[in-house]
Amino acid sequence: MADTRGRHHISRQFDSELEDIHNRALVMGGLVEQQITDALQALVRGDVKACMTVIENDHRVNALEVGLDEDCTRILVRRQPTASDLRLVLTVLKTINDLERIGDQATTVARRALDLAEVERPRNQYIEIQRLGERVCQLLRNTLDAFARLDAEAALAVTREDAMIDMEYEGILRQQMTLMMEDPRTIRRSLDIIWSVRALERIGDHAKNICEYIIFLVKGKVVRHTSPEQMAQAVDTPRH
Amino acid sequence: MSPMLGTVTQILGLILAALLSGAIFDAMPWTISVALMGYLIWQLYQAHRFSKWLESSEPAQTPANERNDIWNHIYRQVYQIRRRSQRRKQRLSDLLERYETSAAALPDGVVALRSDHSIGWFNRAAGEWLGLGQRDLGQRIDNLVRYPAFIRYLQAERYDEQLKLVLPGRGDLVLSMQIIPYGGDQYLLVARDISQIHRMEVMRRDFVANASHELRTPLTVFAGYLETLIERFQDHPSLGPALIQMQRQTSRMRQLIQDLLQISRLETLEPGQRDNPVNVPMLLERILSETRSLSNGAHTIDSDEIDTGLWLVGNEQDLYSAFANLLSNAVQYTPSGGRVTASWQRVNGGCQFAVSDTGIGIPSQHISRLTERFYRVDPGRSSSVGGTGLGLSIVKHVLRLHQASLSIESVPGEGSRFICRFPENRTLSHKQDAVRTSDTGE
Repeated sequence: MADTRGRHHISRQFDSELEDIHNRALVMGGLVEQQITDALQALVRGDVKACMTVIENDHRVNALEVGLDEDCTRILVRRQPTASDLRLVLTVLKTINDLERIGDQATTVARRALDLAEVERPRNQYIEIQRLGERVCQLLRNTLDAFARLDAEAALAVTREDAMIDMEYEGILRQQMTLMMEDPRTIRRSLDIIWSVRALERIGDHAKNICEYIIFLVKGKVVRHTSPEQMAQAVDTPRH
Repeated sequence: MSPMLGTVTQILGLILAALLSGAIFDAMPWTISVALMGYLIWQLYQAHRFSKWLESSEPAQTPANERNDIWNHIYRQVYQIRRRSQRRKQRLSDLLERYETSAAALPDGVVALRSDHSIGWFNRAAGEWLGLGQRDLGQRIDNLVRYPAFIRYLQAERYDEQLKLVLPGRGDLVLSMQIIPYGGDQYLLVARDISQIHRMEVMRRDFVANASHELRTPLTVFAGYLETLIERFQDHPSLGPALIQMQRQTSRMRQLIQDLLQISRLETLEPGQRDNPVNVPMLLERILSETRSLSNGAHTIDSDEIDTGLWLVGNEQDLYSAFANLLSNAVQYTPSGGRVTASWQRVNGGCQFAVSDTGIGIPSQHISRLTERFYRVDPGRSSSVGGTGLGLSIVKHVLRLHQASLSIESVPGEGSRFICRFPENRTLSHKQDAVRTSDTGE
């Protein structure tokens, strides 16, 4: 871990415990990334087997979350960390919560993909979902990279990127509404598409949350529910 | 003149001058002490100058000094040492730079990892593929390359294996990665771009699978009509034998297609995907009885040392086709009256399945190529016994999926022995079963 905390504890054990939860949160992040990528591929290709794999793998994400949650609690109780150590533990605790929900959204996408695999494919072969999905994957990758590097600037950049996803999401929503009005027979398919893009959009929001925790971890400032300008200001000012 | 002598001359001259002036001015103790004091100050000044010179980082020149004393000598020696070390440093940094520029230009990606998997150094290709930047030096690689397959590979520490990694969202980049330990506890991660090869492999595999699949339907139709035709014209003098020959060849073709489909299915799988505990002793019993009916009493087929409590983690269906292939091969290549023996037992570092026969044997130059598709030692003979030429290929793929190895020992004219060795972590012991069956078996 790039040690922005800058100093070591007398107890080496404590250092390695902190590093361990950070690493394991990232391992969990990697698994979640894979789940979304697989779910998206499954949806776009109409691959039933891949859908099942994603749904079956969700328990692994959950198991990682439960294990990490326990270890974070143990550190809080036994070590009673302060300052940046406390922020790290809190950040990991919150991050794994959001990661677990991202994992759930990935299974939602996979379940919708199961339904969609049975119906006729639209003319554009789900290209709009693929584009949105790739953007979401990239967003999550950048988020986890920022978490690995403890990079507040990169985290800030991701929170700005999330606005693009919301715009694309709305575009797809409008398109599907038009399609449903034109031909009510497509309503079932459109609803499934809307459910899955909704899940993807939610993933973007969770990634944004994680970025806010990262800024909190690095800069020591709470930037949730603040305007983008305030957030940028928090990132720019050096920590005392 | 040596520097020692020079210094001695200096001191002697000084004392002589002091004595002389002391005699002239009649103040011998004063002049001597003034002279010695002066000499001491001069020496201290020299020492100071020397330390100044040492401090200056640029040892370009020795201070001009024509005197031949101990100081001059020290200057010259230090100067030479510094020049030498500077030249060595230059040579080393040139070497390092040459090495780094050439490693950076390599088409393969290279990352040097420390014992805790933190990044020590990486070249351009690796940085581009894995999204690493200069600020990531010292970061743990599994924090940035988070693909679960990669993390599993990193933690498994099975460095003789390679990892194929499909990077999504990066233009379908496919990397083949390998970790090579070096220098005690450091690792070199080497990544190769195999996107092109991967694409071609997929195309070839799809082609074989599709072609085989498409051929299957017309053949089924053929076989169906042939059967009806044979029923009607069996006794026809010229048509009868022709139709029977056609039927034989059709069923051979169907077998061939079935084998091809099986191989292309096995090729797409990775080890550990469909593993379950397999009761190998029971499986072998089934295969042995089938082999006996294939041999039809022409051979002695027996088992030797079947460990009835030894199970295996694997896929039963695949293991069945591998073992059955080996046994039917043994029967086919052993003349009537020969002996075929199967064994299944624990060995050092795992367990092994072996088939020995007293057959015609295989000349040693053919052994390494036996598992290639359609490779035939003796083309005439193989088609007469009716093999498809794919059996050992299937065996090889099944063993790959079980992380097992195949070794073949053979003496032409005396017989062959095919041995499949499975790793320790796939073996299972069913102690109770072993006791019970051996009790009833004895």
